[in-house]
Amino acid sequence: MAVDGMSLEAPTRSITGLIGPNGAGKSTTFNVCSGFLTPASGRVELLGDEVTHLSPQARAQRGLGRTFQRMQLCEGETVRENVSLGWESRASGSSPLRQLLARKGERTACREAADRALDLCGLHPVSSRTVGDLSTGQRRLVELARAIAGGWDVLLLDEPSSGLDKKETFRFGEILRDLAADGRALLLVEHDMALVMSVCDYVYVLDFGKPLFEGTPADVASSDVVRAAYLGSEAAEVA
Amino acid sequence: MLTFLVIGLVTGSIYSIAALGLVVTYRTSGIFNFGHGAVAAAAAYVFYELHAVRGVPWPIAAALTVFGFGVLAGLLMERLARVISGASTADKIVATLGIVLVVQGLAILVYGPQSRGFPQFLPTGSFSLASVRIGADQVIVVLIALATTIALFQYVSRSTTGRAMRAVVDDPALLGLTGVDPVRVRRTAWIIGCCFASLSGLLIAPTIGLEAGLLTLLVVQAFAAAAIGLFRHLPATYLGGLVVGVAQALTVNAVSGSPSLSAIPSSIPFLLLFVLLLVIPRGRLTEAGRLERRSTAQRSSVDPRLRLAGLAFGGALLLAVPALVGARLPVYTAAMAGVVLFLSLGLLVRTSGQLSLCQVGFQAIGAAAFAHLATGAGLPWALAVLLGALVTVPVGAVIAIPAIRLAPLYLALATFGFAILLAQVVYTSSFMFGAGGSLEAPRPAGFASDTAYYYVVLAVVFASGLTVVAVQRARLGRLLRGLAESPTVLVASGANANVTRVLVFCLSAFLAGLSGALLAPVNGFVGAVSFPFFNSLLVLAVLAIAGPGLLRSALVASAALTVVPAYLDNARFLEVLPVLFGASAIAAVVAGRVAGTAAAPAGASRRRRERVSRLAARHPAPAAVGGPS
Repeated sequence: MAVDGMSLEAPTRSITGLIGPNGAGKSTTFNVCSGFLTPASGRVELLGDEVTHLSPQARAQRGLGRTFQRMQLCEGETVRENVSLGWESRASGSSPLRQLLARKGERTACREAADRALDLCGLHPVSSRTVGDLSTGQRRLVELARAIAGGWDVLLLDEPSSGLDKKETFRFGEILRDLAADGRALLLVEHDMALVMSVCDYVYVLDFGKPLFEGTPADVASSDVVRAAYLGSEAAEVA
Repeated sequence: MLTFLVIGLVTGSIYSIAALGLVVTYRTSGIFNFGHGAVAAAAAYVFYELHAVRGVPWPIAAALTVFGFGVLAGLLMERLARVISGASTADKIVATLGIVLVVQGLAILVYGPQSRGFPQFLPTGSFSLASVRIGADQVIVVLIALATTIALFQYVSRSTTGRAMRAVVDDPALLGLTGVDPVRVRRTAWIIGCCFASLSGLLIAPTIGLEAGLLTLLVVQAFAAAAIGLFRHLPATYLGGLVVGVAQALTVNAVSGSPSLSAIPSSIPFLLLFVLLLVIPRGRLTEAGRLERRSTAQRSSVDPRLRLAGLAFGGALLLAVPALVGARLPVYTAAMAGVVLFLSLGLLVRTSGQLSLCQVGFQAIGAAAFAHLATGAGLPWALAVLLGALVTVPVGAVIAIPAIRLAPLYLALATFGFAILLAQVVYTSSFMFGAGGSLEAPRPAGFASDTAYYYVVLAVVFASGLTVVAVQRARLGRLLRGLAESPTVLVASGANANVTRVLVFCLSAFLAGLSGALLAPVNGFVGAVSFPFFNSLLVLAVLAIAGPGLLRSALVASAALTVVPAYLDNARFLEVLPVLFGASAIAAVVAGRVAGTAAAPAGASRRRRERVSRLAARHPAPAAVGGPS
């Protein structure tokens, strides 16, 4: 889906939502931000630096982490190993030597980062279980924990609540608020309107590849344009 | 020149027929049949049995071979393909390699290892055209290829089943919703593919004789033709076959005055395959029917103390081998060297999810480099072994290039092409194994006896095993497992996955080279005969049936491949062994699929249902087969 005229900002210490109907261009925008797509025109800035033509790997090195709508997990590895992979990958970068071996003190740093992420996501009880054996909700949390363990300042979360039940979604929202309060910038692409409306500080609405509306969740919920184009009765319920 | 052009068109036509069958089955089933050549070879044997042995007139024998055996083989292949359709690319390759082993083994078992003459069954009259003598059989072959290509293209473009072949790989659920049975479509494709393979085997056998290995290899040359057609387009595949055949024949003409270049023509298809896979834009080579790899890692549920006790017992047993096996000790020494080869392959295939069909080629390079350094340059033994193994590292880095660019299937094809190139061009050159084709490979000073050398090799095996275990537990091991299951995560998390790939190929090549350097002194000399390229396929199949655990599987696989045959005094058993390996490889993949389906955790089955419902909701995928290129 082509996206045109879109401009969005995800400030630190806040959660920014990106919503829109299927085919609105959310994933395209998301992939342009994370470097999996290169825009024909326009620019992407990360923490004040232009990164438009940098690879996803280079952007990750500069502080951009992400999760995936279609979960990307190492099914045969334990929860802890999956969570640690975020930290280890970022630490190893492009250096063959650093990919081969960890530096002195890195093992401890990695373990501590993983511990913090597991704690935050409530995954400690299952940390030694194989990811393939977990429920969808737990697996979503493992992906989030991996992104947290990587220590990224900006997190792009691609439909992180899909497959979660109401209770799990509520818990997920709480974790996201904690992350933002911790100083991170979160950009959330999400279908679950209840989650978006409850956790986001600011919301962008896309439709047919063009920006339709932007504002606080309350603005979005009360917007006739958005209601007509996308939200319908669901927004009225939330409001 | 014109004579060679005609020869090229004839052999090229046969390559075209084989390649068309390959492409049709690949695009409709998502399984690239490495056993396609074996089907062709089996068909040639069936025709031989009917016509030459039992005296059935050739038109009837040919019809029975193509439409009887071909259909039967197609039905069997469809059954197998259906079972293994959800397997990883590596497992699919192993299963189809199993077919090659079974067919070759059975052919040798029934007809013996020696080549037999194949009857020239087509009319042998000839006529002159522009001063070139053209045989009636040559004209018939070219016309058959043209007619079958047109018929196939018409069928795929116009018939309901043919049109359904276009979508069946990418979206079987959607195809099912349209009322067309995907199983029927695939069965038809497999029948067409195997009939084409049978026809190509039948037509090429009079030229090269009845020899299973050669027949299998020659039809494998169709891979290059399929690559020219981007493994997708039928008319381009037909033309690709002609290009390969003509290029090969014209090269024969060009190098006819230089005996040193005589290996070049037979390498043309593999050179073409390797180069094409390196230069075709990545987006043009999407792998049909590829599923994301689900975990194949088998975590040990054994108590660590029990495992330690097992290791100690195994270690003690290996130390006691010289006292237990008597005159067969060199066999065990060779098996120990083989363990390092299997470790190198396990690290590549099992840990990092990459593929290599040229591992024995790395082993050959290590062995030859060691022999040159130890004998020619007179370096100390240990230094020669180390440097010999290091020589393979840049070669491993070169092979990492296709690993970076290509999907696993095409990586396998590229490494296979590379293995054959090595065997046909490099092995035969004097700088590899010397002018006499054999180099002296000394044992270390003071360790010349069989027993002493066994312990030297065992020490290196222990060191290699420890290194591999250390790598698996270190950061690289975690990155490699990440690479196997989700390279996207590595990239999105800041690791350069290409560096990871290069590292694992270099490390794997080093270990394979080390294995070669250790193997060479077992017999005291080393030559090309110790490293047939086909063994690269064999070791992959044997590793697949060697059970879980990197160390354990390396020991089991090497023992099965090297030690077991030494105890089979009956020559008949020795001939049966490849059949057993092949059948076991197929069975292992099939059993893995069945167990995988039965033992899937509750969460996994729920996720699978979610995937299926998403699949059914998607829009149809673009055409997969056919269409003008």
